[in-house]
Amino acid sequence: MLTRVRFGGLGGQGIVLAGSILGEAATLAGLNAAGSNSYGAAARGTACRSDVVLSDEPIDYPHLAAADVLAVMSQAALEKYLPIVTTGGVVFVDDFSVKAPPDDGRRFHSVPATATAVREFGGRQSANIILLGVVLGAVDVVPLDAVRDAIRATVRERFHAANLRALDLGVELGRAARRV
Amino acid sequence: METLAELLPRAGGVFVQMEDEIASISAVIGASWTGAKAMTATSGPGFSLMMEALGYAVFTETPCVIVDVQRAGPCTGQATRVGGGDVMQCKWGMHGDVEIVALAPWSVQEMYDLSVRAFNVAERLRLPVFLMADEAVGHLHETAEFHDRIAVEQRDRRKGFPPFGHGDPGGVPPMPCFGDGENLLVTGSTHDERGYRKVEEPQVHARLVERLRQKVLLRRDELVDVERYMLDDAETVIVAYGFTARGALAAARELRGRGRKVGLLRLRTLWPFADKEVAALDGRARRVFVPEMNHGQVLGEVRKHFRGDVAGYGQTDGEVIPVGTIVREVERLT
Repeated sequence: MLTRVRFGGLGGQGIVLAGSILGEAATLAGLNAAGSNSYGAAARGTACRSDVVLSDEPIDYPHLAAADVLAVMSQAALEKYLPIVTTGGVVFVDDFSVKAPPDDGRRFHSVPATATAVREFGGRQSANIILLGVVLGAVDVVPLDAVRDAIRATVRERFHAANLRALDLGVELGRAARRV
Repeated sequence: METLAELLPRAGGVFVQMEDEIASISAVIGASWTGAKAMTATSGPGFSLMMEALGYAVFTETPCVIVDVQRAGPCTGQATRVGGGDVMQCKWGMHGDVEIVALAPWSVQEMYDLSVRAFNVAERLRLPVFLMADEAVGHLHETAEFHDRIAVEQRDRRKGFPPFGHGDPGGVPPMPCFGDGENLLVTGSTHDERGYRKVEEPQVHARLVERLRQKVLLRRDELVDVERYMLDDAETVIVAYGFTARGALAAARELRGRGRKVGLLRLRTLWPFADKEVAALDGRARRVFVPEMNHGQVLGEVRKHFRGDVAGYGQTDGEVIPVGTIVREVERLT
């Protein structure tokens, strides 16, 4: 099965890291993964995206023409990337900076990623991993243990504990969203 | 390159950052003559800057690998955007008549596998080998398998032979290195088999240039590398390479789903060109379609060898060619 995920936001929010961890996790879980990110000035301050294609089959085409899952941390990213979300696709928005659009056949979930980061960690830095957790809690794409291993493999050791906790907080939010 | 800077010294290698691309390729050539396997990587105008020294590498039969991650040009162009406009440059950017080998990876796996192959071909043929990637492949993250052991072509460093040929047309002479104790003359001027400058003798020049060409041409069957997808009954064949070939494969599958008999001939080598493989489509396929991120650099080669209908689609806006575009263009032809 093929799942196409796009993370969108502003450079500096950790969008690329969220995508990298997801791709790494998929590889560790024995899936095929392909991804590409904004590169250059876009990755450093303005609109930014990270795409991940996951599949148990070899991946012919590694870019996204359409997304099954979109997770965004800025209003601009939502408006720019919403058109590529498939009918029946799932959209996650961080309610701190994004106003959820009206329901139009896609499933929208507005989640407090940044608010949870500020409340639990005293800063916004973990919001990206919380949002990654939300996606993983709501959509079965990659086993969580593989994601934990990917975090340990990707993030500096002194940040492991905080990131693993942020992931769990996000997964809880995602599971709650799934039940709605 | 940043990764190599970190990893190479740990593996006993050397990483040097030079002041520009002219110095980089020149240092690579020098390193190769000490016996090292040497490479550099560049993009855009950096590739242009390397051209003179690359001609020197061809003429002095210096094994080396050049990775060109093609981007939108000409000139500085869009430095972070994709392009495919260097296909002809790697073949004809050096003045004079040269034959080189250029490989076209389409995945992270092939960036690795074809780098290994590039080094092996460079050593076997004593010439620069080009890994003609593009930005979309260069910035791709992907599942890939890296091997504990790889087949490595060892350089023939036997002493006592003429280091620039010995009458064998297309022959690859042994290459002793600086420090091996041989009396070596290395020059970019016309030279005889021992390396002595012979800039006034037509026969010496003709013999040398012809041998350098035949080194590649006589081995074209072992060098040319293509992949064939769904060609058996294909009425329309897409010929593509690099990242565009992945879009072409997805498009071919989509078109098959709509009942169109479409296949893909994927070029994993750009040079020497897959002339026989393209010509073999004659009489089987009705038409060939060549999408590429330039205005027809491979299209022209395909036209030389396929006698049926040939159409191209060139896109040079710094974006990859979407699958949907290839589907649309093929449907328009059929």
